[in-house]
Amino acid sequence: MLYDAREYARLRNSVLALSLLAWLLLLGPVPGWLAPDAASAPAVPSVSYCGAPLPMHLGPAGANATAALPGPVTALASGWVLMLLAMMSPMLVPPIYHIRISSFTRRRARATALFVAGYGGVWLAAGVVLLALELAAQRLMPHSSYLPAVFMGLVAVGWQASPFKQRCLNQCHRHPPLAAFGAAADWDALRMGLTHGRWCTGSCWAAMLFAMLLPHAHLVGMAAVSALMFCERLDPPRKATWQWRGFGTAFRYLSLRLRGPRRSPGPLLART
Amino acid sequence: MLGATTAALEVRGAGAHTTVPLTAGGQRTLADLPETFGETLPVRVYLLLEHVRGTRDATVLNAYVDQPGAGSPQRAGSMGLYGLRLASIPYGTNPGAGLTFTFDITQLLVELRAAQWPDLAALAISIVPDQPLPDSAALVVGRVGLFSLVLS
Repeated sequence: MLYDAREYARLRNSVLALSLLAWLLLLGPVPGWLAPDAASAPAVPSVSYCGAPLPMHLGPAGANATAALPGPVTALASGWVLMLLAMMSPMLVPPIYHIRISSFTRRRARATALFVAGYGGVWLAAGVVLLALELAAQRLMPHSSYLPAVFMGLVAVGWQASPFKQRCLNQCHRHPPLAAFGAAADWDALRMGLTHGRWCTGSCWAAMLFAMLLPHAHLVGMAAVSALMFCERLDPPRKATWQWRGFGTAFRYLSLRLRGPRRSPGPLLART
Repeated sequence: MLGATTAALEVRGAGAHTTVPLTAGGQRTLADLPETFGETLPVRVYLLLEHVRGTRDATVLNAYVDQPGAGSPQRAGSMGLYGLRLASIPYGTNPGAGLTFTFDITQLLVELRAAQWPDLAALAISIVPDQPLPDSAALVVGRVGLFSLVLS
């Protein structure tokens, strides 16, 4: 594979711009088409990207419910896609570059779209499960309780340090050879998206669910989880063991940029 | 990418031969190469032997480029297969993608064009081991590809 620095920079900048746009949309007010019941719901500044940030009380009927139920399915799906764009797209630069550099120029857009479709499809399916877990936790626990988030935070910390997480991360680094022609090329791109989505979901599910279960400061939680997921992808593949992982490579890079390279001590000269 | 093979190439015995079909864009790129080679040439053409897998680490392969049917192959380069076995086995952190070798064949193509090479629709690639390989020990080249890179 050839590394074309300009092509990589172009791709990276486009993807980061898309992610930034998604974050800006997340921080903006809820558009009317996403909140059809906005007239009856209390006004809130943040987007209901997964049904959670709106103040909700899913208690028994007749109780003093103060807010509407989560938006319709399309609103939830749209919000989930927006969240995926914001959080996941920066991590897709290396695999998309592999897809593009392995494809003929006339097929690049199609191959990239197939990869994104496969990857997004897996995360949409995972989103159904994660949202169901989130809604179940809200139904079972008192309003604005931190208990689900605390429990999930402990699970996420354990998962983060586990060898299972490292196996998922190692698989995320694998870029398989791709066919160049015909239906085989299309299938390889789609399959790479499905595979990459599967391992990405396996790596990130716990941290994502933790951020979703926070009753307040959702976006802060999402941003923190995004930063963690991006930094851990900078680490190279390594042996799957129990160890803390996440920010090692990022800290070393920052240290190098801020302090410059360290001078190694000169050789010890024998006294004559 | 200017062209690529559609199937993997098995290298046995005295070597293997394949043809890399060029796309219309690839043919234009080669036709636009200048008549003389200079170090400041902005476009470079590379021959990639991708995902070479096998078990014979102590092997040296030579890659040759030719016009199909011309019978005058030009040597693009050599590759030692150290680490081939380990690179071929998917285990742990190793994806098992094999080894990939890159050869800059820009000068070779410019000189071949200068020798009045007619319009190319394909390149003939030959992979020849230094020592003949036993028939039981196949080396597989996942894909032979031709790439161009515009240097800044």
